Amino acid sequence: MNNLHHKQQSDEELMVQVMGHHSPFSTKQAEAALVELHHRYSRKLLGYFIKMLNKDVDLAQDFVQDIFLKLLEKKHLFDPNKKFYSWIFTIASNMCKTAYRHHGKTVSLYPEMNHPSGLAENLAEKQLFLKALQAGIDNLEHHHKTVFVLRYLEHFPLNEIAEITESSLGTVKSRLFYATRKITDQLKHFDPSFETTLFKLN
Amino acid sequence: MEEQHERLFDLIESKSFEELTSEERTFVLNHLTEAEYTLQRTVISATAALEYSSDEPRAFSIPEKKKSILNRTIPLYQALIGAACLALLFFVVGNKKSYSLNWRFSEHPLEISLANGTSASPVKIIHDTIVREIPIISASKVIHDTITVVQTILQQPEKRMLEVGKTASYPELTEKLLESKSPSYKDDQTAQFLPSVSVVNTMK
Repeated sequence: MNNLHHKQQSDEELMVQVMGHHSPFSTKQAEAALVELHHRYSRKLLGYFIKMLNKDVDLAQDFVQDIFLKLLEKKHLFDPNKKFYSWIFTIASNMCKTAYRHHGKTVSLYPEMNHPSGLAENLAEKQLFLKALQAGIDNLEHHHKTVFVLRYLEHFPLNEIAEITESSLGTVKSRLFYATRKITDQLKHFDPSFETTLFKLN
Repeated sequence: MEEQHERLFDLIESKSFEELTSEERTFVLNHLTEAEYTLQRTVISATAALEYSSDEPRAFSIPEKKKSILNRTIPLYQALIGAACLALLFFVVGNKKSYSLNWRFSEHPLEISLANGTSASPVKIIHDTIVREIPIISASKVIHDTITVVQTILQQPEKRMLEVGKTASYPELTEKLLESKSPSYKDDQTAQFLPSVSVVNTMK
């Protein structure tokens, strides 16, 4: 009954129950609300952490557990008038920043650049391109990587990225331009005509 | 510079190089080559093709020691800091009160008039003892002080008029009043403990 009730509630209403000081919710109700939030967000957060932590799945799994415990500890900081998912992604982004500071930039080995010759080998070239692109994203500075992943891998609107990263819209756009340019600098040896042949941009 | 990067970002996200107007093209070419512009668009579109692990997240369970947090609205250390701040504030405000003088006169001021009925000469009112009250919570050191305040007024008080010629009558000095009923000094046995003085009765 409670679970059904929770499924009909918004994220913010569930978080208010976790906070537990607006009405006399029982501990069990608060726990159930937290489990429901985990159900809604764990998969998306896991994907985000995997991308941000250079595909370290085990570490990303630990981060998902940790973020919900952090959410419990920091529940008093949640503003019910703001969007829950922006708040939780802000925490996630800060966790990645801390990990980045502790472990430094993870050095990814660039893929061997033995380019197949001619457009006939486009598919193999595409695979190489994607590997190099992945390496380029992994090697971005944390603040550039955050906006790039949120925008092009998690598909967040620009204004929400600004909210998550606690910066202005202009700063977000500027960082996205820098991030893309940095990746591009490492991919200059590829044929830019890929856009028309392999990748389509809306 | 940031504004230019913002504009470049907007153009890269929305238009291919061929779709740019001549003005936009000139602006872009001031910062990037056509190949770089195209490659940036390729990077953006290719990012969507990147593959990541699609692992299922682990089941969530709250450790027993963390469950107690659900009963708390704020962390304990914050509650303690709050209480300490409140106590400090109370202490500071309480101490401030002790520095404000609370004027209370222990008795009515003495009013003196030199009046003969109609004179309006200035009269001085002298307030004597002043009691300063100090709150009990800060009464570690109590200071009693006496301050004399002299206040000049122009109107005569109506009470306690001492008019010339209407003073109380005193009894006349007579032999009977001067007559001593106690033993004389030379007969007084306690006089031997006093220094040697001579007594002269000036009234005779």
